[in-house]
Parts: sequence; C-alpha cells; structure tokens
Amino acid sequence: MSLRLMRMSNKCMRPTALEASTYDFISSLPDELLQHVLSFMTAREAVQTGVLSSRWRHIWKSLQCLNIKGSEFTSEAAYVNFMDNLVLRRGCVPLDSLLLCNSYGRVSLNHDRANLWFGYALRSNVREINIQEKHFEYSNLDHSSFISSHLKILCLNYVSISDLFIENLFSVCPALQDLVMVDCCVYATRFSSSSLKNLTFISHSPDNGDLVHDDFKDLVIDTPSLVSLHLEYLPFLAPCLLNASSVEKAYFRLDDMSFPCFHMKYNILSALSNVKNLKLLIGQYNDDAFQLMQNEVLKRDLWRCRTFNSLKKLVAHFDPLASMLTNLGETLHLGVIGGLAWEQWMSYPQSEMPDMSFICEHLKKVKITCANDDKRVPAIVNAILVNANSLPEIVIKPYTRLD
Amino acid sequence: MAAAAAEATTDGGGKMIILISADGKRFEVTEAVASQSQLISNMIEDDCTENGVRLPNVDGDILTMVVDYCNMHAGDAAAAGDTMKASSTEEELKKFDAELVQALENPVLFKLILAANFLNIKSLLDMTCQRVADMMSGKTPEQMRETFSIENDFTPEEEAAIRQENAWAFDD
Repeated sequence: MSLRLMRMSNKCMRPTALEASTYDFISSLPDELLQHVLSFMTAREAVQTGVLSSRWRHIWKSLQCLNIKGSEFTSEAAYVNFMDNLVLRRGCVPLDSLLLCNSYGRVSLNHDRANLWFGYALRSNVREINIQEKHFEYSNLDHSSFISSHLKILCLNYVSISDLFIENLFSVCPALQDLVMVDCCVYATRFSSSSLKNLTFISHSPDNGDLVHDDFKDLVIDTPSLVSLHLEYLPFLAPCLLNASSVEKAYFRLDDMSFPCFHMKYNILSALSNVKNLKLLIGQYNDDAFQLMQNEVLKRDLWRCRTFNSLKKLVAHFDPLASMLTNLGETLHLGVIGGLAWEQWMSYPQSEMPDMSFICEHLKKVKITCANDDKRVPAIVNAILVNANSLPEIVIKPYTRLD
Repeated sequence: MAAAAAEATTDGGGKMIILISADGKRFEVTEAVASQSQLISNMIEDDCTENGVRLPNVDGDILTMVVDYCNMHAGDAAAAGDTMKASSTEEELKKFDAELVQALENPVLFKLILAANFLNIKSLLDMTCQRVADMMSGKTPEQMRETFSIENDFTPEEEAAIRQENAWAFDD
C-alpha cells in the first residue's frame, strides 16, 4: 500500500483532480479506521463490505460494535441464520457492544436462541448490551447466561425482568454501572448493587400490556455507589431508598398511586443528602386519597432531612413541599401547578404562610412556571425576596389554563 | 518569534500555542482550543509546545478545517468556564458540524479522518467516520465500489465464492 499512500501524503505531489476522483482513498485507511467506519453501520451492512475487494474481505470480522437492526430482515429464519453465522464466523474476537434494535421491524428479535447470542457476547467480554425491542412480544432473558466481569452497561426495552434475573445480575456482573429499563415487564422490586452508578427505571409494564404490578409493593433501591437515579411512571411501586447518599442527580416523576400508606420507611428526599440536581414532578390526578397520601409521605420525608447542602438546581412542582426545602442551591425552578396541592395551598390563610421560610443565600436564578391567574405567585416571589441575601434573577413564565 | 508568540496570552488568560502544518502554515490557537486534540493536550502537559507544534502529516488546508472545528467546539471542552467568553450554542454547533461534514468531498473527507485520528480528536473522528458510514449505508457492494472508487481485485470466480460464503448477510 505504501507507494500510493506515500505519494498522497507528499505535499509536492498531490493527486490531480482526475486521480482524486478515481483514487481508492477509503481502502488506504488503516484497519482500525475502517472498523471505526463500520461500527457506525449495521452489522449486516458491515458484513456485506467483505465482498468489496480483498482489502475488505476480513475487516468486518474484527468489528467490536455489532448493531443488529430488525427492520433489515423480512423473515425470522433470515434473522436467526444471520445471527448464528455472525457469532460463528467472528469467533473469539473481543466484543465491545451488542445492540439489538427493532423499532419498526417485521421480525421479532425475541427468539429462543437470543440467550445463546447474549451468552456469546458476554463470553467475548462485551462492555455494553442494549436491547431495543419495540415489538408486540417481549424478550425473556435467561438469568443463568448473564455472567460477566466486563459488562458495564445494560439497556433493556420490552424485556421481561424477574426478581431472580436482577438478583443474579448484581451478584455475578460486578462491573455493572448502568442499568436502564424502559417499558419492560419488571417483576423485580429490589435493586441492591454496590457497583451501580446510573439507574433508570421508566414504567414497569410495556405500554400495550396490563400492569405488571397492580397491588402496592415497596421498590427498594440499595445502591451505595449510585450517582444518577431516574424513576418515572411506576404505579403501585413505592420508592424506598437505602444508601443513596452518593446520588448527585435525581429525577422523580411520581405516580398518583405511589404510596399505599403513610409510613416512615418511605425515604426519597431524606436519603438524597448530597444531591446536586433534583427534579421532583408530581402528577395531578383525580384520586384525592392517593394524592393526599403522597403529599403526606413526602412532607414527612422532608422533615427528616431539611438540608441539601450540595443542591445546585431544583425543579419542583410547587406545593407546600417545595417551600419546605431549605438551604437552596443556585437555581430554583418552580412549576406552579393546580390540583389538590393548589387547593391545599389556598386553604392556608395568608398569615399562616411562614412555611415559606427557607435559606436561599446562594440562590441566583428562579424560574416560575405558572398559570397566568395563579394568585400564589406574588407570595412566592415575596418569600424569596425576604429570604434571599442578594437579589436573584426571577423569571416568571405564565401559561393560559386550558380548562 | 514563534517563542514570543507562544508566550503571548489572550485577554482571557489562556496561553497561546502555535501549530505548524506539513506545508509550513502556522496557526495560533489557545491551549483550551488545541487541547481538544488528545495528542496536543498530552504535549501541553509535558511542556513541549514552547517552539510550536509541528504536524508533519497534516496539510495546511486540512489543519485549517481542524482549527475551525476546534475553535467552534472549544466551549463544550473547556473545563474552566472563564477561559471561554461566548461559547456557541448547541444549535449553532449542530448546524456548523452538519455543514462542515456535508461539504466534505471524497479526498478531503479521508484526509480529515486521518488528521482527526493522528491528532486524536474523538468527536471529529466520530463525525467524519459517521459521514463515510452514511455514504455507504443502503448501497449494494457495486454502488459502494462506485462511490469510493474501490477497485475490485477479485476474479469473477473468486467474487462468486465469497458471495456464497457471505450469503447469510445478503438474505432478505
């Protein structure tokens, strides 16, 4: 290769326009760059490049990122045949990531043999497995094949996740740092891991199925290394955080049916003593009893931990809870909502508003999103001005109420 | 003179360094801009940028593009916020990247890949390799050969045999 390559790198002898248009630049790239290019294509397209020329014949075999796209296959047989051959012909080349993506595929990637392929990936020291199966059926993962000291990232979508699978995963995958579960059938309710850094758990049931949990259970999260936590749309699962003081970033969108009872064990905010960035969104629902329960649980939770020394940014739906947060960080974003919280707030006589006393000496910016006729806003602004040492920037974004 | 310039500082306090292309063109950039290149970042750490950094396998026209790219992206890489005055917004960056990559023609695109790889600028390398992958995606092997002038050195018999061997990747 060197002759032509040397000529092209020599500044005095640039290829002429004609040469430039006919010179095979791409094939003169070193192997690792060709593999890098192939890693941005699907595995099927990458394998197809093997017929281009002798230069390309074996390049795909050392590819470390395999992207399998369901929409490329018209039959299950072709998909299974492809995967079996891919695994067989790659052999024992180390693997970095395996992505199965099936957004609009006609073939379900959920196949009996899938666990064999995952087993192959794990034996090839895969760092990341990502299953995006947006299909009518969801995959069953075999807990006994998920053993790896290299697996760091596991992203699952439309996958059935049992208690046993999670328990096994955390005990035999000691390097696991990221676990993402979106629209999975999650039967597991206890997540106990010393290595996990990021946990995202959005919906415990696929959007086209019945709820996996239709009776209250505690969702126990015991993760001493966790840095980022995202919980969203988990009806009937009451979050209960243990060992969460390492969390810096937390996002909660609590469901109306989050808490069965008013009990001490529900630690959410009080467990997040070092949180820097907190987003707490509470839906407005019709069921007053559940809403009341949720408010009471959070209120009690807050009383136990009234200082957030590291808090830099808070986004909260405003109700009496937000006003109780003390020692605020630099940015405060209050979404002023209606619903029961609104009623409760209105029932406080003006003189009983000192709930609004909070320390906000570091507060630099406040953004309030509210209905344009929300009468609480002046009181909030007033409370902030009274409590702030220096004048923060206050932005009020009103919207028109739809009802 | 290079040494004097290398010592010069901007109003923001960022030290300047000089990059010298294969054809002798000189580019003066801040350390924050240049250290998006892992190669140069390591050289800065080792204190060996005093007399300018010679890049014998990067042409001036390619280095111009690399420096433009790094200037544009200095905002997201700068750890110390005060060294950057007005960092570009995300939207502007996306537009800049899209325009840069769309405009790349065959030889320049591959020279830029080699430069990004040599200088070890991951985001630029990913972006340019993604562009090549996009140009290959959805094409038959014949169309790929045509797009990139890839010379087919197989005999018809050899090619038929290899196609047979890889038939599992061509099944619908």
